[in-house]
Amino acid sequence: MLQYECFGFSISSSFPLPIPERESSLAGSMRASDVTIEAGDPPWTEERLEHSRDAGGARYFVLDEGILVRVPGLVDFFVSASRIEVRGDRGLGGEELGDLAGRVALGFVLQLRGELALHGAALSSGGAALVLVGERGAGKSTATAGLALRGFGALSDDVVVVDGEGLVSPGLHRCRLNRDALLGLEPGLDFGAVRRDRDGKFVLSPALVGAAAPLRAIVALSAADVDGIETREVSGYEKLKALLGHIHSLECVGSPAARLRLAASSLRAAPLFELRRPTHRLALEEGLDAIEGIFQEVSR
Amino acid sequence: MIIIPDSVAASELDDELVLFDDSSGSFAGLNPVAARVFKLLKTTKREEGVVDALCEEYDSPRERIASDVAEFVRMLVERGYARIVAGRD
Repeated sequence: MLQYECFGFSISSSFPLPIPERESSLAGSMRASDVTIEAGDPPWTEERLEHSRDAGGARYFVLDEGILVRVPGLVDFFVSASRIEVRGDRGLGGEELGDLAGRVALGFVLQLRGELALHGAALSSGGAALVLVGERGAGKSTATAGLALRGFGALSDDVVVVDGEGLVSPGLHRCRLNRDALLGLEPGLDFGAVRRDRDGKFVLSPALVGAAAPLRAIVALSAADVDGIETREVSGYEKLKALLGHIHSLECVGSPAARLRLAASSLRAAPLFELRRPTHRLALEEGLDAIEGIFQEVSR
Repeated sequence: MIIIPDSVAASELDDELVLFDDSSGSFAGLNPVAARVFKLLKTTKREEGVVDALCEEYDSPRERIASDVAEFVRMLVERGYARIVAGRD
């Protein structure tokens, strides 16, 4: 089994995850795994599939003992708080299965363990963490890759975990970008040299991976009918409302209100800023300047 | 008597109190004054008790305070964050 440290948990996996393996040590080898990922036989049935719900392209169905998750045409998972069973379709390699287990199934494990998981990206600088959330296409991954190029350490992309003390731990930190976003970041890049995943996205490994850090600010990205970058701080009820669509599978485990209460508690110390960019252009450099400015301001 | 249902929980967030209703999944934010009224309602369970306490805290006519509290209670009940039940205090 391969050994990893991810989102603050010790993970043993039969499939390679898209992060470096944990360095072996005597203490580490004696530590029991919090989560095991291995081949299994997820009990999907036609009836369960029919009543399953959508979660960002994946389907899920909640049972008493865990959650069935399907990425159509690729892989089935059976997820409990300590185990992910994987059954991949033929032709899918171990690396792809590990990647999907990390990006899709692990988020459900986090829910079952009572963690606050957000759809977003996290970076760190100067011992503090910054979380970016936003709808699909808002520019989260692009901003994350851009900030990494400006010297921020990458913590996580796609799923972010904030613990009860407001601490953000490193998770899965590879960025997946489309061609235009990558061109915006690095004009003249040799695309042939960059790995692509099954969805055709370009996969970037960050130069610097950050260590666990307290959350200092949240930036909610969106595209709107504006001429340039606009930012404003929101608090209290408005802050929770801004986060509502970014809490991982909010209605999947327990009551949504309980998960929102967890969000209110875990994110209490971090101010939230809404950042709107024009719909017709990415305004990447202006956006990155604004995010850096916010982070410097709250870090004072 | 005014009862806050067991399904309703409150969390402090920034300068506000946010109410969560587990049964409906809804949530609502209360500004500092509304938060104070909600906390008084939880302890006194009576509109009159809240009005008495607020009259000592604020320099406003009792009728005005009573009217504001009644309006707030009506809104809480309408949204399921409070229930009025018959019974002795």
